[in-house]
Amino acid sequence: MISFLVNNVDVQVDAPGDTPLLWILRDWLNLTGTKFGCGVAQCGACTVHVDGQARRSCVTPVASVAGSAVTTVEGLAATAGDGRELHPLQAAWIEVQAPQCGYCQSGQLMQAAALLGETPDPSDDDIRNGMAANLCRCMAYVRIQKAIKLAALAQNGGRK
Amino acid sequence: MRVAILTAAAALSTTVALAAEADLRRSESFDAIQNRIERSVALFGEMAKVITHPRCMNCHPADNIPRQGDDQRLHRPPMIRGGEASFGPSGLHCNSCHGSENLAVVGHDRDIPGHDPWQLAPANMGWIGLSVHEICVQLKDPARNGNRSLADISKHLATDGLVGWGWHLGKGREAAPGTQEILGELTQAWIKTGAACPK
Amino acid sequence: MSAVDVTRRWFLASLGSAAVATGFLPGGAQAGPLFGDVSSRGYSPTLWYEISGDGRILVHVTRAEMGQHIGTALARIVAEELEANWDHVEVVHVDTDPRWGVMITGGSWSVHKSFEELSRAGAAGRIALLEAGARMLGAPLKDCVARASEVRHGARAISYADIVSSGSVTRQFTEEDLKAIALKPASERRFLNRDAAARDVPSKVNGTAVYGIDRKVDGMVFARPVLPPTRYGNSIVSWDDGAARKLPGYLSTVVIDDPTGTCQGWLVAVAESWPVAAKAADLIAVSYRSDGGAASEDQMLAEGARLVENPSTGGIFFQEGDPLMRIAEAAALHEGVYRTHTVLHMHLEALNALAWQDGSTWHVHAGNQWQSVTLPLVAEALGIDQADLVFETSYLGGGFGRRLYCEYIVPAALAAKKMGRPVKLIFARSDDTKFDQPRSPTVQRLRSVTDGRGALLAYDHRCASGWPTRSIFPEFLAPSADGHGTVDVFAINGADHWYDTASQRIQAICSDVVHATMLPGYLRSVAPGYTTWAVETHIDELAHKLGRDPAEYRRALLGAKGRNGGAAPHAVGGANRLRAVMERVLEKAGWSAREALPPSKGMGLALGTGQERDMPTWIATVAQVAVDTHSGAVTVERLTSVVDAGTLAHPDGALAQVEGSMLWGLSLALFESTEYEKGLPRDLNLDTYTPLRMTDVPELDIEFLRNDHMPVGLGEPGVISIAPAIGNAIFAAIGARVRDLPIRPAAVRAAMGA
Repeated sequence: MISFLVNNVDVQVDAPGDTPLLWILRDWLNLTGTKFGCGVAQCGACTVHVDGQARRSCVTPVASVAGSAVTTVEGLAATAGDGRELHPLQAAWIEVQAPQCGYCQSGQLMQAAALLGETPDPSDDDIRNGMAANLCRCMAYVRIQKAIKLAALAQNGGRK
Repeated sequence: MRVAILTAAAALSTTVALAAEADLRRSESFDAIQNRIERSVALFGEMAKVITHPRCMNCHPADNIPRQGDDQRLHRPPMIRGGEASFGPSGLHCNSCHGSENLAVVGHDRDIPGHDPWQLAPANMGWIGLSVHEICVQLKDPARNGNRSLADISKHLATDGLVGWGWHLGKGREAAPGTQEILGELTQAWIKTGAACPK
Repeated sequence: MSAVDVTRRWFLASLGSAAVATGFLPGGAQAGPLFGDVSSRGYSPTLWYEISGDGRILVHVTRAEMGQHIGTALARIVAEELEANWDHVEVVHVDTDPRWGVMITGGSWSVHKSFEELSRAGAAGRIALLEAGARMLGAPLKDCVARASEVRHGARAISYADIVSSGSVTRQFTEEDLKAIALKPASERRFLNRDAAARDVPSKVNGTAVYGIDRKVDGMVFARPVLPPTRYGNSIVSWDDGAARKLPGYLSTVVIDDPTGTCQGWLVAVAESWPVAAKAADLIAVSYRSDGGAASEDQMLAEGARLVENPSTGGIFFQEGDPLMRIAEAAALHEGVYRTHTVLHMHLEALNALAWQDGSTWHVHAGNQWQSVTLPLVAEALGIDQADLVFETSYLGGGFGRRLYCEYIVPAALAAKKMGRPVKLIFARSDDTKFDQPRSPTVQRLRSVTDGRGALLAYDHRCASGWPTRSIFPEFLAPSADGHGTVDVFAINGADHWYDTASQRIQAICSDVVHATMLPGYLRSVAPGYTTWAVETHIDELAHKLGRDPAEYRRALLGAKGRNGGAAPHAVGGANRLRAVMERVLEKAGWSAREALPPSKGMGLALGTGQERDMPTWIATVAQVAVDTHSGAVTVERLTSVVDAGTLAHPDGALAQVEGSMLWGLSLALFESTEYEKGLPRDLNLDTYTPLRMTDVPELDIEFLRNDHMPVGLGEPGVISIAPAIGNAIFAAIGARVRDLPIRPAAVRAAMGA
């Protein structure tokens, strides 16, 4: 039995310890917002937070998150702590109409949240470098970059 | 879990060691060289087989971009050193993908490398593009080796876990020559003989 | 903790305890089907939408949502003529049902091919509601107007909801009635060419959007295929799952006996969870008897080179005059051979399908672009009547053409049949890649003859490739223009350019070597993705050979003569519109100042008219590149495209498609390709198959020339002019002519030496 927090809720799962966290989230816990893309940490579609840090859940054995706090896209809004339905990044994503097929977007959002968590006012290079490991096959990169800047601005209270 | 892996590695060590000596000579095999400086240079030449191997070089880039694989291609997905911690750019740390152990993944011929910590060597220790001579000089220069004494260097090469990963690297890539133990012996012998650098 | 959190805590906690009990998914807690009930009530003047008694307008969308926000675009078309209140409009993606007719999402066709039908459907509803509304208001029909889901007479109004719920509107329309309807003049438009937020976006930012891979049903088990060593010609001699049986949760291995021949020598490993099924698949030892095609990339390219030189091969796609006679007589001939390597789809949602039987009906949940071609295949595999098979609709985690022919549903369905329970089959990425339907390698030979003033006297284009349609839907093959044999127009579209030409012949040649090894597929931009590479490189070469400015030379060839003058309604203006986008892109990109660029930098121009002559989207692109002459590495600094796609049903969605497709074009130009080795792609995952990333994005400058012409396609045309613009820019920068895609640094170096 492996215990950890998911989106601030205690969970216990009965699964082999080497089961990738991705499948635990999707198939044990029904949190299907986190996606399976490449399975080898190349595309970033499976990105979640483990103790606040971005992690590729497809290469994260569930045993390694025992006792940790995991956040998925379904719990992203709550991390903003302002009681709103959308995290500033999600609001910005809608504002610029960033997603196309949308399959990579949960991972993009979680990666962007990790970026803003460390660098609240990122430069263009910070965004490009921090997001380079998240593939968008529709290549909606222009809008993703724009949305991150917009969210940073909103989070910083419009100050630049 | 990690303990179990180390035990398994130890159990294999006799057979591995026999093969290892074939591609990395032990320090005593240089005893025949009379001239101390020449012996030292030869010892470093042997150490360089390990140091210049992709397992070491890939994380000692001079351009802040890690390399990957036996062909030392640019790291995919794109990755950079990031800040001084050499641990990746903002929000995307090495351990976003690299866990504490090598990880087998289904349908893929290479494990995802893992070790705790997993990071690049410091920026001033970039080796890619340097000659063996230049690497040697740099290794001895406290300003460019993380302010290490020769004893520290020896300890680092002989015992550091991330250096040791070069021989405990999982499926799909070639191990560094020899063993970490032989590298440690070579380093000690090199230092004892005056830590001379090849020209 | 807020109330929301309490609910979530209860939800997760209940799952947690269930997980403890069973080790896998509990029954009952499952994602439901994505889309709502479309059972009839309210008023439906045609098939395409229903107005319910509460005024909601449910637009029935048969096209797949895979990133185009297609539901929004199509609903805007209906809303326009219906004079709807946009807030009342809902998008309903429907499951398969014969009443929808052919269900296909591809070719950049959706808006163009739906436009007339949906416009007339919307207008029919408006007419019927106006009539009923006028009666209810007691006002003369001619004095009433429909606006924002109301029928208005002066200051009085009655809502569509009230009209429909009164039951007083029942008028039905025949085909003739619909045809007779005059659509609104463009001056009266309130929706088209105007923006709205896409309806699918919110669910794509909070994790609630349901893709193929997200569906769950009671009693479902998971599976991963064990693929044979090549696509064709394999049978299983023996297999052993002894090692897999030691895995807790492993259930069994299913031999796929497939009457359709889709799966030749397949096993499927089944387990209680996907990670276990995935591991098990790697542990099953199989011995195959194999005699399938196993050509390498080089063999396929060599065969292509042989085919384009062999005059007895190929079907004629288009011919006018006798170019061969002129070529034979010409004192000077310009000839070029242009090649493209294998490229892969790499949609991020790995192939997957969930299949289950419910009573006498089989259900399939999987992303799907062409239900009408796959449903009969799956019915045949299962040995059931097509009426007993329903494909549920979901979002697609990328289509790009890979989800047109969804043959990967067959092993899921057959595994479910053998297991006697629902099976969700998910391909590991490497399985997906091995089973891709790649864009095959192509070889094209172009020969042209000009007069002293540069006019094209003769033009001969022969293209050898795989023919996707031959494998997937041979009924769609067109007769050759000379009556001998057939042509896959989807393997040659785009070769029939809009430059004035005195005589020309365009031929498509099918490579059997390709077909023996792979199932060549449709890949975003399809044929124009490589034919335009050849045409626009060749024209550029001609311009330079003649000492002409590449823009001025193209302008001279765009005389809009004969059939290049265009046709109504789809290509009004013809080559004149192509010339207009070119003039605008030259202005925007600063073409006239290009000589002032520093050494090793250059600008290149290319035009595109994807996806086909019956639906041309007019595009001109200027690429600005910098070439590292030491390494041959090319950096694209800026891409400027000007697009005329007629009326834009959803302008922001149109822009998003062009942004993404331009970057696709760049990715295919510089970063993407694989090589076949022993019948399979060498690069099986994204570590070595390397599409463009955010770090590779250049400055993009995009402009639409706006008008009210018939809308055309936008999903793919943005791709096609990028590669030749880049190749032409490389030539402008350093004088090196590249003729192969992708443009690798080594090829640039080689061309510099040439």
